[in-house]
Amino acid sequence: MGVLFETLYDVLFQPRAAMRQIAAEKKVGQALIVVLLSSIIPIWAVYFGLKTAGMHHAFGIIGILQIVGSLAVWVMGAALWHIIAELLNGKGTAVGLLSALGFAHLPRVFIVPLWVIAALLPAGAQALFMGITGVAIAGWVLYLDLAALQETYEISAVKAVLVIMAPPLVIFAAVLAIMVFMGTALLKLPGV
Amino acid sequence: MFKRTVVLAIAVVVLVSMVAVAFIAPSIRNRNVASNKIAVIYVEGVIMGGRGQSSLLSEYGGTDLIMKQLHEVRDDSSVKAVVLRINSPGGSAPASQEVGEEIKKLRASGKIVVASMGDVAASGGYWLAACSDKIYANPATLTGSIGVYMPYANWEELYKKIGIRQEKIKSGEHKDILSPERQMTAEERAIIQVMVDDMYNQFIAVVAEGRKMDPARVRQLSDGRIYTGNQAKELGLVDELGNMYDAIDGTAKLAGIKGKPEIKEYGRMSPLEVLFGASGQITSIDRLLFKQMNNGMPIMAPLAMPEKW
Repeated sequence: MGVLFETLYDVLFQPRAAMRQIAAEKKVGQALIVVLLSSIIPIWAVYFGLKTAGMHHAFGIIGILQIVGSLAVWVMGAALWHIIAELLNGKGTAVGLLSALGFAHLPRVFIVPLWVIAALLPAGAQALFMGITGVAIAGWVLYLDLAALQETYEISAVKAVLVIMAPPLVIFAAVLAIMVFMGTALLKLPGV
Repeated sequence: MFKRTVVLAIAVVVLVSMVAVAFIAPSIRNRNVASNKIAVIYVEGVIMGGRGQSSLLSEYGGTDLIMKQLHEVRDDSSVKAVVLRINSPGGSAPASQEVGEEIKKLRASGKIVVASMGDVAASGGYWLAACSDKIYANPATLTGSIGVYMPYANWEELYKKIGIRQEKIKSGEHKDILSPERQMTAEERAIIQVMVDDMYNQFIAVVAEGRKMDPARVRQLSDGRIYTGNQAKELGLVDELGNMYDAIDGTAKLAGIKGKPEIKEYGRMSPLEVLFGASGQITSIDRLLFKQMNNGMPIMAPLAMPEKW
C-alpha cells in the first residue's frame, strides 16, 4: 500500500519520472486499482445527480457503461497506441504502456471534490466552474497520457501527440473519403 | 512519509466530498429552481395495483409508480401545483383508493392538485379526479361510471362438454367462492353483494367528500352510468370544461403563479427509454384480463369497465 501511495504522489507531482518508473516496473495490478477507483468515485456523484433529477432508474446502465467503458478504453487504447508508437520507432512494451495509462486516469477522482465546490457556488457560476474544471481534468489526463507515451517509448512530445491524434485523424480521413465517394456517386445519378 | 501523508490527505478530501455529495445534491436542486413549477402526472390505461412492468431504463403501469411520482412531487419544494392528466377507464378499487389517498396527502401538504380528463376518466379514473381540488374535462370526455362490480363467469356447462370435472379439498365452505366451474350459491352471492356494497359506499364517500356534495345526491347519480363531460359539469361532477392546457392555466391561477409556469412532466419517456422497450404501456382491458388470467387469479374488476372504449 505504501508503495502505491508513493507512486500516486509521483503521478500527481512528478508525472514524467513516475510514468517512466511505472512503465519499467509494469505495475498493471496497481494500474487496475487506479482505473477502477477513478471510474467508481465519479459514479458516486453521478448517482446522486441522477437521483436528484428523478432518473435513478437509469443509474444501473450508466454505472455499468462507465466502469466497463473505462476498462475497455484503457485496454483497447493501450493496444492501439502501442501499435502506432511502435510504427513510429518507439521502444517500449504494451504492458508498460497499459500500466502507465492506467495511472493516467488518476485526476478523474478529483471530479467529486470539484463537484462539491461547484455545488456551493452561486447558481449562475456553477455551470461555468464545472465546465472549466471539467476541461482542466480532461487536459490533465491528456497530459499524463502524453507523458506515459513519451516515457514508455522514449519518444519526443511531437511523436507522442501524433500517436494520440492518429486514430481520430484516420477516422476523420475515412469519413471524409466516404463522403467524397458518396458525393461523387450522387452527382452521377440522373436528374429528374 | 511525506508522500504518503499527502496522498492520504487527498484521499480524505475525496472521501469527505463523496459523503458531502449525498447531502448537497437534494439541496442544490431546491436552491436552483424557482418554485413556480407545475408537475404533470399521467394516469393512463387501466388502474392496477403493483409495480407494473420494468424495462432497462424505466417502469410503467401499476399504481406504485404513480404513488412514487406523487411522493416525489410532495417532496419537491419547487413544485407548487400538480395536474393529474387522467386517461383511464378505471380499474381496481383498492389501487384507485391508494392513489386517491396519496392525492389527498399531497393536497394536505399545501400543493394544489387539479385533474384534467382526456378521452375517458371513468370509474376508478373518476375516483382519482374526485380527490383533486378541481376537475377539468372536455365536453365529450367519457366520465362517471361511479359504481362497483365484481364479474363472475360460470363455465360449468363448458366444462361438462369438454369432460373436465374439478375436485377440490377446501379448508372452509367459502374458500372457492367465485369458482368458475360451478353455479354460485345464494349465500355466496349475498357475501359478494355485501362486499360490492361496501366498496360502493366507500366510493360514494370519496366522491361526496371530494365534490362537497350530499352523499344522497351522489348516490342518485351513481347508478354506474357514464356521462359526457358536458353532462358531468351540469351535474356537478366536473368543475370546468377545457383541455389539458386550460387545466394548466387554471392550476397556475389557483396556485398563484404569475406568468407562464414551468411544466415538469413525470412519466414522459426519453428516446433512450423508448429504445429500451418502455413503449408497451398497459392501455387495454385485454391486457388487464390477460395478466389476471396469467396469474391464475379470478378476474375481479370491481369498477365498471365497458368492453370497448
